Amino acid sequence: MKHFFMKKYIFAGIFLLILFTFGIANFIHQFEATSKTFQKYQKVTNQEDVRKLIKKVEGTVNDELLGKISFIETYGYIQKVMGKDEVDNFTYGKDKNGFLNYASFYKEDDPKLMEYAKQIRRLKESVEKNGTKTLFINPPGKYVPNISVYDKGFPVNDINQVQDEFLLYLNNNGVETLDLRKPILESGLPYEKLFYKTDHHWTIEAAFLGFSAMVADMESRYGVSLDPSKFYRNLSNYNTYFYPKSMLGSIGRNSGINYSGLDDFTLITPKFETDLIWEAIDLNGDKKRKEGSFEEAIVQLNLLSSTKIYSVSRYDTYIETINPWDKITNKKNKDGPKILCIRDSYFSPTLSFLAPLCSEIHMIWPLATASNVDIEKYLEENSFDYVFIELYPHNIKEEAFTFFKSEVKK
Amino acid sequence: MLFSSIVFLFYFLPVVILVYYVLSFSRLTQNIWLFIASIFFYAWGEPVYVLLMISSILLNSLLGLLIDKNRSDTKKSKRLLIVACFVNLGILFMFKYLNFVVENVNQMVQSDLLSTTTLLLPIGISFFTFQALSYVFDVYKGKTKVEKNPFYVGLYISFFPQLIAGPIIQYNDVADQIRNRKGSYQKFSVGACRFVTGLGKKMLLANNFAVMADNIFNWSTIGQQSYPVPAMLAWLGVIAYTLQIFFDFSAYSDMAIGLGLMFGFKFEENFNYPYISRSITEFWRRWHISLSTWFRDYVYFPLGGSRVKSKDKMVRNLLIVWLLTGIWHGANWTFIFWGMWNFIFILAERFLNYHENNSHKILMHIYTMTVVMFGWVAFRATDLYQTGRYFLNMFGLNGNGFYSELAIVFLKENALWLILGVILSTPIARRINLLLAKRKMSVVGNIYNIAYPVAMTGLFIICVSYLARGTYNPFIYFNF
Repeated sequence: MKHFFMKKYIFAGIFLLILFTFGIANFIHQFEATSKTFQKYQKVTNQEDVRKLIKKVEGTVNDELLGKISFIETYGYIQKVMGKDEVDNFTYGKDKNGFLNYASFYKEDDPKLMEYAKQIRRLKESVEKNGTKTLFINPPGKYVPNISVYDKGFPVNDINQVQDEFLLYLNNNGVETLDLRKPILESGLPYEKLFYKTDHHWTIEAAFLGFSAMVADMESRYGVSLDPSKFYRNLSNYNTYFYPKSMLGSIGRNSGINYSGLDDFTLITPKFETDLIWEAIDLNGDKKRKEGSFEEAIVQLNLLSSTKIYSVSRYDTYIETINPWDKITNKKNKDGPKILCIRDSYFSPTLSFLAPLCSEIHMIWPLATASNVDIEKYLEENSFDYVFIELYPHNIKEEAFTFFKSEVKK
Repeated sequence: MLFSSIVFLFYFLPVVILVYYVLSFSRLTQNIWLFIASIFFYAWGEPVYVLLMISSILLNSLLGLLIDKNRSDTKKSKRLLIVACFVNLGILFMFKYLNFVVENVNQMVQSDLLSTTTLLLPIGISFFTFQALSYVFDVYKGKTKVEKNPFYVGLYISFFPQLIAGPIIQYNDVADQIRNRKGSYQKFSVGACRFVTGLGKKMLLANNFAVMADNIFNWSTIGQQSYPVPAMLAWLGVIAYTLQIFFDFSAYSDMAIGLGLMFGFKFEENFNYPYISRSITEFWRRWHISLSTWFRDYVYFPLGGSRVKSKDKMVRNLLIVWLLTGIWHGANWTFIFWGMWNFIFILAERFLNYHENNSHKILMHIYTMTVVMFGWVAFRATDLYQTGRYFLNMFGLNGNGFYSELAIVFLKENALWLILGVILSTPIARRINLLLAKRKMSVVGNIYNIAYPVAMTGLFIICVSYLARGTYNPFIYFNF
């Protein structure tokens, strides 16, 4: 009988060892974070406060778990060994080429799409009396039919239909649009160079193509001469720094490197001289400012050298990717166009490349959860040559359309 | 607090185990410690309703004392028992069934005659109420001595391993263990292995089946015009739910039994491979054994059981038990339907002498699983209308077609879990374990003895990895 139980005795010993040693080590590791959470929420006056405190403490315990990354990698390894293409209850799906996309079983049509288009129309009407041009820019989503290949029936979220419908509504409302899907996808660059496997963003190379397409469109649509010799759109006038297998994107962080792999990252900076000022207000309301060349003002070089792959995204290299408000001033082109772009993180590198062709680029992130900018007020207080609205297709949702919700009083 | 959570595994459990064994010099202090830990465990999830549970403990402790004191006065002791039933069931009714009754009355009279309450359902109220009643009944019947120490009554009612989702322990079964249990490393070891096995069943099997079942059942409520659920997908949903409910619930029972053993308590088994049953009668001897035992001992037998002169009375007794079984599971017509569904087949098996007249084991098994699975559709559906729509979906009678590419995707993504789920629904693992145990000093036996702790350690680490990652982790019996 003793022989029968020996294996259980051994495991019980291991179990106790893990419980206590990991428990103690984890407690020490989490002590500071958990104490801070407790202090922040300890004022309880009703049962809701108590529930909130418990929930927050438990959340901190889960988020700050000792060795969490190792556990996520273990999970990812098991998923990979099992050949799983879905991640986290089909939140994401991996295609046949290893690219992670958003998945979605069922999505109700957004009944407010037409209303969003009307809101942009109202914005356009409110600024056109000042001669300001308005343009909606539609970047490509990562899922591309016939390129992103999944098993038949896999519930990948094909956002292209939403984009098509929204562009139609905008055109019906007299709003001009620039659909970047075609110029990007037909640029000649292979799909693997246009999108990251582990992140929802397009690559910096694709962002540069987006910039080129924008300039070409502005010249054609508005008759302006931004870059007549195509100097700024010529990649040979830029430095390209290649960082192989150095980036773990937002989607990849959910499943770990073992499952999703790492992406290559390319940094593109101008070879030509630049003199820029970048200002921003972050989510905490703190002001930031950097001045100098493109590398000094725009590029967050510290992020490139960071080894914190799980918490730092290389994509943040360009103007920290996203703040509630940013502004780039080009000291070398004071007569250049003045642009406001209501945008998301997709356009951070694109607008960075556009900066040398402009005098000022103001940026507002409508989805900011704090330090929000009142867009209507901002338009009243400032005048622009162009107002661009750019939303990554999965951001075409109510939370992004915080402006001109009612008809403009004429 | 969930067993499958970081807070429980690496904060609560190590502290409780450590202090418990440090207090080994005194059974009283050990029991008080377990009681305090159990109250804290419950308060973590129900910071306000913990007071309700403490009140229940005090009340039932007092009633037990009063019943015992007035034992010689049968009328008085009976009245006290009635008071106990009234108060315990009244509290249960108020939190769990009042709104259901009010909504149905209002529907019947076509007006808002009565107002609903905003009371939330306290976690585990059905379980601890039944345990409290068990204590009072056992004292009344003289099956056990009254417990004069309210902490011990409190420990029985609130003991954290089985507080929230069972098994429902009858006081008689655990009374002696509260005072006289003997802990040992052997018991602890068996408990630890049982706990981690349950954790694995929950994190790896039940949760993956839940992804399929929850999604498919939710889609069936959207409407076939918006999102048709083809028959193949509907059947996959039923199979997934059949496996989910078994592995989720039996996993919790495994963890509860394992935790009990760690502290020297031996709880009865709550599941005995129900999906190998060949009749519905047999199914209910293997499924949620503690609940069916409770109803048998405290409802069926007092009514006379099947040893009544009149067959009508026997049918009445069965009807009452199955009606109550359905109602116990939740305040919804679907649960009542499910209770009656089981009643019909149990009655039919009895009257048709099912076992005597049938010998084809495979057909009997197919019949049983078909009835069980159809019952689970009602059990899982949000209402009777959805139950009906789901049945139509299963047979392609809802304009939903048969073939589903998404079902193929689900099968491919979950092939390993589904295969394991079907295999582990049978006692094959137990038989292999016993076979290997008999081999003693053989090479295979030795390899198994080395592989077992390695595999269990790996399983535990994998479970913690899934927890750390924050995977889908529902607990379906929390609604009961």
